[in-house]
Amino acid sequence: MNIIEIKHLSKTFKIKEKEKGFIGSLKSIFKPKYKIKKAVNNINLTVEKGEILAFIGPNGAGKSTTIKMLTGILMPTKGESLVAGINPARQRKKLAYKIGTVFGQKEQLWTHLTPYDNFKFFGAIYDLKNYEIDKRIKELSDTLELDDFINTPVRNLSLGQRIRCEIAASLIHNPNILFLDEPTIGLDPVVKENIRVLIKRMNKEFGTTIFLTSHDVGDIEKLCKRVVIINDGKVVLDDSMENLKYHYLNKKIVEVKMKEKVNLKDEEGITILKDKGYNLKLSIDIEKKNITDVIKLLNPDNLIDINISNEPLENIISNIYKESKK
Amino acid sequence: MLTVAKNQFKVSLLSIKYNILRSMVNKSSFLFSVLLMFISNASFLIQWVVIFSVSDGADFTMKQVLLLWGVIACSYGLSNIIFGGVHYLPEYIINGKLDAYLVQPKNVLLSVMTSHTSVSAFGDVIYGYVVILLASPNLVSFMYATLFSITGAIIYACFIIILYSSIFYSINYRELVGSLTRIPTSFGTYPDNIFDGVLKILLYTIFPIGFIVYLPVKVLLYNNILFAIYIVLFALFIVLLASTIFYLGLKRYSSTNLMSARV
Repeated sequence: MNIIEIKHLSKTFKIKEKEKGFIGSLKSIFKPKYKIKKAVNNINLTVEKGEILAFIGPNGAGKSTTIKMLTGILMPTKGESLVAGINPARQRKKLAYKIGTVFGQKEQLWTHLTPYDNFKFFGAIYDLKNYEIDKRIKELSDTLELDDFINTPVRNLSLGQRIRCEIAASLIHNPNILFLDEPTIGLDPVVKENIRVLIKRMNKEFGTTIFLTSHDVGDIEKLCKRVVIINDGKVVLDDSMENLKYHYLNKKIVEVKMKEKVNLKDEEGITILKDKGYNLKLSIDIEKKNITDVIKLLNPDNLIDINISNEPLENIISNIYKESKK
Repeated sequence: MLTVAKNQFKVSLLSIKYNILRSMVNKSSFLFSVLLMFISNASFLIQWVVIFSVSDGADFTMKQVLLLWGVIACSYGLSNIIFGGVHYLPEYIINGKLDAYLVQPKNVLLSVMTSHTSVSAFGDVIYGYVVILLASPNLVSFMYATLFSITGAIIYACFIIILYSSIFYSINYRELVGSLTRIPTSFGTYPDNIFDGVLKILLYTIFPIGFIVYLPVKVLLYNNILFAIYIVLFALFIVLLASTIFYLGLKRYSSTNLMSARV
């Protein structure tokens, strides 16, 4: 069952352009120039209930604009979407009861209040009764491990603790869908890992559909089963994580340590990434050259150590970004 | 419908309560701000005492001046306590801070209005009541003062919302409308007898100071109930107008990805 349906969704912005310098500023007052920027260009997408979807792309690709249209913050220029069966552009308030949002770059919590008071306030916003709010705070506090700092003012919390509280606040009304816009931005690896575990647990325990944008490949790899890549406002890839890896993993990274130097040069299927004499790092396109041939080229008797690994997902995604630009 | 209104009212009250709690975190700073505002307002009355001591021909009285100061202080103060968030509208619109309110199932405008409280505004309200009761010490004046503080606060806040909603169309209007928001407090401390012609018409229409101060003072002076009805009707009218203009502008809201915190 689809919980999000996006049909031909587009958003354009009219952006004022100014020539450089003081004269440019004066000119722009009397003769302003504008350019039309297509932030989101005819996106079609569906998301199933209970799914964890990675919605990724380079900066300025249109990720946040799409999320903002799906949450009722921005009005689409064309097309429409249905989120939990509700059109965000027409029924923003009704939709708000069904969704939760966490914008890693923007705080929703009141910094002078404690997380507990914030949760009470957010509970009231969603018309929950006092006993319901207390019950929910207990559940979230247990799941997100907030007990140690639930009564500390938000301004005194670490970034990781604050993000956990942001997530808890966005879940106070038990939403069907959680929109996470770069939830792990600026966090250290340990806290990132904790947040990922929590997101997974929420998805499992509460059945919450997760719509995630992130620049962190770790978030995508560890959380999502499906990846949608957007660039220049258009969907350039919509596939399962498994397929993404399978189809795009035609390159292997081969690192070798040798007894004697080998005179190897770039050739079809082999790219030398690093050459430090006795140590070589090669990128092999296995569609053009198989690994056995490469080992033969290097002479198996000459090898002290060899390490063959997949190309990092980060490189794969970055290549998809580049290819979609062409 | 009634439940929706009740829940909205509850959230607005809670927001104001938290704002006031925040203002009172530093008690000495809070009390000092209130006291300073009281003294600052009182100092302006000295100039009127001087004016009255050198001029006998003025066609207005010291009581009228006291009531003017009292009503404007109460309206302005109450507006900044309850609807202090209206002054942050440019920041919300330009820096994309309306996002936080747009994802909540509540009235965006009311949420924004009740999002901040000015600490010193308590000094304005206390000063306003003291001056009104000094000029006209009776229960009727107290009740009228309360009514006009509320209508004045609403009219003043709506006036600012209308001006700042222009920023949805272009952020270049920010400086201009910022200057215009100061007009009510600049003109509101002088009796309307000294204004005439087009200026007087403007003060009862585009710049609704007449309904914030001048008519309330007339009611307090002459107990004219008809004027009181006009004021309440105008307050209702401007609420509808400000709300319509704000929501029309909100359709053009473009948000941003700037990093921000709710403080």
